Amino acid sequence: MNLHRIPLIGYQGTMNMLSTICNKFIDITDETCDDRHFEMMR
Amino acid sequence: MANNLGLAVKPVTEISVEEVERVAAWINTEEYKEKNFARTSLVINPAHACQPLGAELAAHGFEGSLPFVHGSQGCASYYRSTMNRHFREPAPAVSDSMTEDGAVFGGQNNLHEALENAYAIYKPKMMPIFTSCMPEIIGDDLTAFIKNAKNKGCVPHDFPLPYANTPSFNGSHIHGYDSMLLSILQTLTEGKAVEGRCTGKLNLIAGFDANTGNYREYKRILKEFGIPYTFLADISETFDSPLDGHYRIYPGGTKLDDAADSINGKATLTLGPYATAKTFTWIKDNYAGKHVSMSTPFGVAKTDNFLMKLSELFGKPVPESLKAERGRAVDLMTDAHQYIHGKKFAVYGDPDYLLGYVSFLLEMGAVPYHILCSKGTKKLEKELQALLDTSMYGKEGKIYINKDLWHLRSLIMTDPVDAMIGETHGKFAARTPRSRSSASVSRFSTG
Repeated sequence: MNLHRIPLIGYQGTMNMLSTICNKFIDITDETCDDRHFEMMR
Repeated sequence: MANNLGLAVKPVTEISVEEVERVAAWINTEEYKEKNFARTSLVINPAHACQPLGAELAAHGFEGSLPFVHGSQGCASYYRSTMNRHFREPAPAVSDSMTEDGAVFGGQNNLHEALENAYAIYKPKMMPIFTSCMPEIIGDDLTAFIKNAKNKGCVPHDFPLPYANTPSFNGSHIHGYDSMLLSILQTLTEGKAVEGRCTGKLNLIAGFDANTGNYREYKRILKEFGIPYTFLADISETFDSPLDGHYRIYPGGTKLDDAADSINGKATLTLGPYATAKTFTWIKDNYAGKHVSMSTPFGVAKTDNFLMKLSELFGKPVPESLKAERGRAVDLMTDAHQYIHGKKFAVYGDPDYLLGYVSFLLEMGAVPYHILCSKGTKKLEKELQALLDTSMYGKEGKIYINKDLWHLRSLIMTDPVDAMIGETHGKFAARTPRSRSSASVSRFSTG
């Protein structure tokens, strides 16, 4: 929600996009991995 | 069988649970994908909106501007509600509510009455007029209608009424944005060019960009550089105004005087070449100073190009603060590499955004795998292909021009990706039950 307030352009926008994408992948890994890997994810 | 009220309902057809399950599984197959890609006369969930919606966004970007829809009330509600839902802000606009009689006799009377009412009630400084399908199909003559309106005294003679023909059945929101912005600039700058005068300012045009954060970011970058500017069609305050207990019908927007004087600018830079093609062509012929059209600055390479161009145009070095920011972005790219490298992405959306997404993903060593634009051209296809050819990670990328999000769903089900990047309508394609497919699809929305 309210993603239109988060810039995507410029260096700051690049950082915002990367954080969002990586956090999504990390969340999916957390949801689907076994206990050993769950503990390893930071 | 009964409905919610307990009344008996006779089903039109009887479909068994097994049949529903069979079809649900079948639409995920290669066989269905082939049939899906063979369709020619039907669009399902396109990744674009109609021209007037884009026109309304451009109209909202100016001070005291009241967008005026010459067409039906339902169309006007669609554009407004789309913006309400996206920005979660009011989108004040009016319509002359054409109905059946307007369709038969033409919409001049509706237009005149609505102009008179809207001018008296809402006291705007400008009313950009654009059309929906109905007046375009019957061939309403906006030029004559508006001239007659001023002669009748519906609005004062010097009141700005830019207008654009924006048939919904042709083009997309970016074309409507382009036509409306062009008309607004033509209207406001008429007779304002002064030989030898230079405002010393940069005219910046973002193109169709519904991210208010981007507008603020452009302004921050220009402030860091110390470059004076006029942001043409600035929606950052219009659609991101503070909640302080006071309703403002026209918050923000580019000052009309600044827009009028933009014709005497030092340089004009558009960062949405596909969304401002006509406007930029006209600017090149009519605006003073230098004219530059370049890609939306997504990712490091395109941002580098943008900053270097600003530096070149205004003879100022790139500020140390932005150099440090670049370093932080590169640091984050290195940190993020392990999560993104080699991952396959599906990307979809407007041409200007797509070029940015693909460039950004290639920088990260990710694979832009399915690249889909539901309203594109051969020029876009060539430009995307050229971009893919610059990197080994672009080898697997496939471009789909004039395909919709139902096509994308077929692609994802038969040839999975790790993530999708695009606006929120893609969520229907991203809602891929993992039990039915090996696809692991997540959604990163820019909408």
